[in-house]
Amino acid sequence: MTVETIFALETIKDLSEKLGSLAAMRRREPFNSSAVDFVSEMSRLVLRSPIGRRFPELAALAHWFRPANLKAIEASTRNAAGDQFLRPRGMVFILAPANVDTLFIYGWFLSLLAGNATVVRVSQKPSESRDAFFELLREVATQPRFYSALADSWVVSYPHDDQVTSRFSSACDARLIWGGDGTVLKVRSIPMKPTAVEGGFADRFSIAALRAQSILTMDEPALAELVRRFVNDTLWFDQQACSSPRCIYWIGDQSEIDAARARFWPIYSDMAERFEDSPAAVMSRVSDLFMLAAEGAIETIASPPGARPSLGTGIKLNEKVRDLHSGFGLFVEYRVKSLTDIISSLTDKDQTLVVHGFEDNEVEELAFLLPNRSMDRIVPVGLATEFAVTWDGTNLLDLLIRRVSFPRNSGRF
Amino acid sequence: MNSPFDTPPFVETAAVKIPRLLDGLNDLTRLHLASSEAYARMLTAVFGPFQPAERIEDIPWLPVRLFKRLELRSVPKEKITKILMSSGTSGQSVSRIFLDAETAALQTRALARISAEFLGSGRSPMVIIDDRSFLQDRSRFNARAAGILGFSNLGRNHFYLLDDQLRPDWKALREWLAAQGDTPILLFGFTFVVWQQFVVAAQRAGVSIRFPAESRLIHGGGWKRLEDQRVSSATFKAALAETFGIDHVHNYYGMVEQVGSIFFECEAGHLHTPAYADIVIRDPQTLAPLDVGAPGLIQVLSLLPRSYPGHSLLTEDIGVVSGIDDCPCGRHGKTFAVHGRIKNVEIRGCSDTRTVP
Repeated sequence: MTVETIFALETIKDLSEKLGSLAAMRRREPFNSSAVDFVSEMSRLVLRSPIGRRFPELAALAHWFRPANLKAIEASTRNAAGDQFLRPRGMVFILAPANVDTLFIYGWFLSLLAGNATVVRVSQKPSESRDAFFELLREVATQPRFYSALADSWVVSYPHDDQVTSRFSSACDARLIWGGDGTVLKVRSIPMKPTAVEGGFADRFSIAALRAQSILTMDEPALAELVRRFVNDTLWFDQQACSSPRCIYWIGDQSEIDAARARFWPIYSDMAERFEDSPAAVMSRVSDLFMLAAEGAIETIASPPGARPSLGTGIKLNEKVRDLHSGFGLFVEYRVKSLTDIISSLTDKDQTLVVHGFEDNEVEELAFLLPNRSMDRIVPVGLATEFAVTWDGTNLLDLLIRRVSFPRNSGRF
Repeated sequence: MNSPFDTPPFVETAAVKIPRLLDGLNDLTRLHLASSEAYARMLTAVFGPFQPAERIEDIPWLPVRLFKRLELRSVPKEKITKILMSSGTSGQSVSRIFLDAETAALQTRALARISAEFLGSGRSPMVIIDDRSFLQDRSRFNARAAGILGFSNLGRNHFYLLDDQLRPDWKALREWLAAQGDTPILLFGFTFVVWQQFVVAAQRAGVSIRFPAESRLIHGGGWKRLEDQRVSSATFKAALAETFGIDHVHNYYGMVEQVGSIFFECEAGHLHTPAYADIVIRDPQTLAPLDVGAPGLIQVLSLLPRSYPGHSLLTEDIGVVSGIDDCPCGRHGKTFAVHGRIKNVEIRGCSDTRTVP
């Protein structure tokens, strides 16, 4: 068996046996207190331990799973269900991506809160933050009060192997796949139970729209805070997260945009220093710039090659730009007069629009005009990589929780 | 243009070499700007409108990995006679270098002139520490085949030591050697293959073969795998002397993207830039040129590439210039050492399957 167990309460002897025992376990109620207590405890411990400071993405995760947010999630889920009963989906199989180390924890904890038995496949790529997280988790797992919450979780890693994926898939009632387009398509071709449901979260592309005039009118501390948030949006996961903007639309007149860029980028460049920048990342940015130029997607560059940010002056946002751009602090910049001018360039691939400097009604107008499948999120600067229960337009809890219709108090039974 | 080979490889000092090289490299930039649209778009976007460079460091460059991502040619398809390919590791994309007859001939002549400075001018009987399976397809060459084929021109009466499983045939080698008498032998192989299938294989098999005095080994292709086994250059040389009596060992630094203008290791252990080529070391973070003694990314410049825009390439190798025109071996030009390659980045996008080329 090539499957390595990263976490399970018991020692695993055999894959089939373990899957059988997971399936046979009695399901916990959605939002049962054991699960809520466990997730709250992990949140508390991460925020208090040094790993929260060492890995800001874990601190963000812990903050997201704070007790108040758990209550809000439960309330909105129950509210949406109305009279219906909530039941766990059953057995859930989650495939996590390698580019955002902590994403699997969100999916896993939500599934655990929903009361499911959960198998999580994490990537083979080593990750320091993941190791630190599991070190803490294994300690917490020794407390008997969390046994029932953790007994039906199994975190595994294995090299890409359709046979193993097939074993897990045929046992599950819901499958969540985060991965590249190829991975999602590949896993989709592997059958599940006829009754099972699935969410596929493939490669997406994200964009920022910044109003030049607004940046010009900000005082220095406010601008510094805005740029700090934008740096987090773009460098937290080396700009590899699907929701990290890779293109920027500057909205305004030419002279406003020139002035806004002259204020914005030097601050970005200084603040970027907090993030590691390996020679390989430099080479990746540099060769992306050349590629973009070769394909006619940028006509000039506005920074020395290799600098972070690396800035390319875009001609028109097209599929070449979406395909060639591999992150690490590279931006293709466009200039338009008004926010709605970006609409003609948007495609189904676009996921998150990070906006700054607009009135609510302007953003609403844009949201109303969005083409087809384009854009699942519109967020202010600083929230690009924040997790949300609604992912790519789908409420994950709808996949993780079943609603049992039951006409209460109807006197019909 | 004058033939670059009017100049002997290691005679000029920098004061003479640099202006000549600058003219040649500026001419090549002009040539490729006029002949390759993709090159022209990239250069104009990244470095601005063309201006002749006044320093070697100002010659515009391309990242070497672009040859894995783009088909870059400066001559029409029908003039291409050979496509060189890098030997990428599993699943990775490979570089493709397009040669026409002219550039291929320049490469052959350059290699011959440079190596004559280290090997002498006569052609020695030659042992190739590799197998001959690469000979099957003569139009598409991987880096290994290109290397073997290029270097085999330097010798005669070739003996291929390995079979297609890379097993040495010691008996055949003994017989072949006996027929050469006392004539010094030229040996060529890739560093890791030489170590594993020649030195270690002989030691394991208890084979004792002595090569004639003044026999020489040329090897290249990178130290990475030997470093993993903690084999240093000194260990490598000592083992060749002890096992086979080969006292002259020359490493070389070269790449499929710039075949011909090769950098040989001299008797003092330094890699040398010949008259037809140069290197610049750049800061791995800012890409600004660095001074002698400071390690950084190696940019390689060569007068040879005419059929493809590869006369100035920023590699992903780390190296350091040790001196200019001051090597104890007496040859002029820059001397340098290569320290290895930068660690690659692993992922692109929401994927755990792809790798960055």
